[in-house]
Amino acid sequence: MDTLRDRLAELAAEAPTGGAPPAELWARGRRSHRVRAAVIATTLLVVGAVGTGIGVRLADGDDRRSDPLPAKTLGITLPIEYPVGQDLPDLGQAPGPLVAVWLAPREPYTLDDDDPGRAPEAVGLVAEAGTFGTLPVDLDPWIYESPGARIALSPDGRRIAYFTSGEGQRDPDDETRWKLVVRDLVSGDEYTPSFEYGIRGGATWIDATRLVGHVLDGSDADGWLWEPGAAPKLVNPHDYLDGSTADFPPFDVWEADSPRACASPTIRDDETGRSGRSVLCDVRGVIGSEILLGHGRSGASHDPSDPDAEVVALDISDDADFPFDDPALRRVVVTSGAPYPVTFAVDLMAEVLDADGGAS
Amino acid sequence: MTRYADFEEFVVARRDALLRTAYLLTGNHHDAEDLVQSALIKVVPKWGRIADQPEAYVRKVLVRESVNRWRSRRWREVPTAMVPETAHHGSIDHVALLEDLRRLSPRQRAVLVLRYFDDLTEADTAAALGISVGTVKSHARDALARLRNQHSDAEQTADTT
Repeated sequence: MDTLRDRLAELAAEAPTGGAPPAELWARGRRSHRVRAAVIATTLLVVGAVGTGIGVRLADGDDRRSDPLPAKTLGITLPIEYPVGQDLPDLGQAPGPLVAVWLAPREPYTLDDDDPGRAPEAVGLVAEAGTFGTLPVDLDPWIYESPGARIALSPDGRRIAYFTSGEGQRDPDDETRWKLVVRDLVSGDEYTPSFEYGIRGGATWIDATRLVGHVLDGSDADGWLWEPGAAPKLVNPHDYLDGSTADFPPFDVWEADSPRACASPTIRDDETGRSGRSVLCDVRGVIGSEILLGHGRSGASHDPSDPDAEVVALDISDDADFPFDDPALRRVVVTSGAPYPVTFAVDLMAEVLDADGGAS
Repeated sequence: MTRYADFEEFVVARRDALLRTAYLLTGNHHDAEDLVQSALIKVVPKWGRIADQPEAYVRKVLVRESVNRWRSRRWREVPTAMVPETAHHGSIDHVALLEDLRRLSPRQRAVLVLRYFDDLTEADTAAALGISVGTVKSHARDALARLRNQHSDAEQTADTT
């Protein structure tokens, strides 16, 4: 019996051959590169003309782009310094848009299999006031064991989505009781969408109002989409999500299904002979197609658990081989010492970077 | 050797292999040719940095473009009955396999082609698609399961007709 390999090979034998002359391909490639550079420059000038400064966020044509606060109303200056060890006020149900949300451990904290300790608290940075505070959200104590079930912050910072297991502690391997909660941080409205099927922990904002996640018993192509005012509907998440968040990357940006998602260049390092080296691990967000937000520090390690790790905005533009080593391409956005993990409202971060002079 | 000479040598040597991969990803000649041409044009600005090992990068651009194009619905949906290039002797299985591949999600199809036709490792497949090895495994498992289900459904249908 033919194997799948045999069948694919036989089928592939029917493929076309040949094509345009290499010289023509080369010429078209050179021309398209010059045109793309011109389009990017034009887009940046347009962004600048509407008062937000020269932006690092490229237009993507999405009709549901967020409407982030104008830069002049943001009370954030870089670098952000997390108030380590300080008692923080309760922000309440409607603090307004947040620039970032951290999961801060509460003592006693343990990774004991039988006792997860206390659930972490959610700490937000309010965009307009530039102040920190805790969010009244009911997080699951096992949340650190389920990276996908952490808080998702919409690109404009106006909505959070998180997962709760309902009553009491539970077996961390039991995903049958995840419930989705969405809160509008401006109006204070809270949504608890009702699903006719089980859902996996974890969701991604694809724009300011639409959230995508996966069904519990299905493949990665079996998911759901939710937006305010509508019941969840079944979709293929791949229609909305892209494992590579950079459109045409000189680097790989790995799908962030683990906290250690890394961006690595695809070129060979002539000195070491290796064909890749991580330029930034723990990618926490992407602005446009060329700015990564992630943990790291100068020197050898980009380990996000390193207490000296800062969060940086890293420019991975075409001409940069190892951008993390170039201070001109790296901008500290959160100083070291902040808890891990963190999620950003990427459109607001773009505005903050704009107001502070850009990422480079 | 100049960059262009490098590029030309690569295209002459490897384009047909890329076309075979593209044909499995797209299911028809025109789209396969368009996909490969688009990928080769896209890598030209990067050639100086990838010239030592261009194959992996070109393949990555190819498969990611195939996923992106499917998402934007650029591919034409051609009914099975209207695929004249496969309507010849011994091609019934080819038509069926093309249909089976078309019913997979774009990433499942890409994983299947890269793993079982291009013989990439799980790690290299993950790198090409910008996903984790775990996701490669689950895509492959789901894709194979779907192919088996579709094959058995077809056999049941044939048995009852």
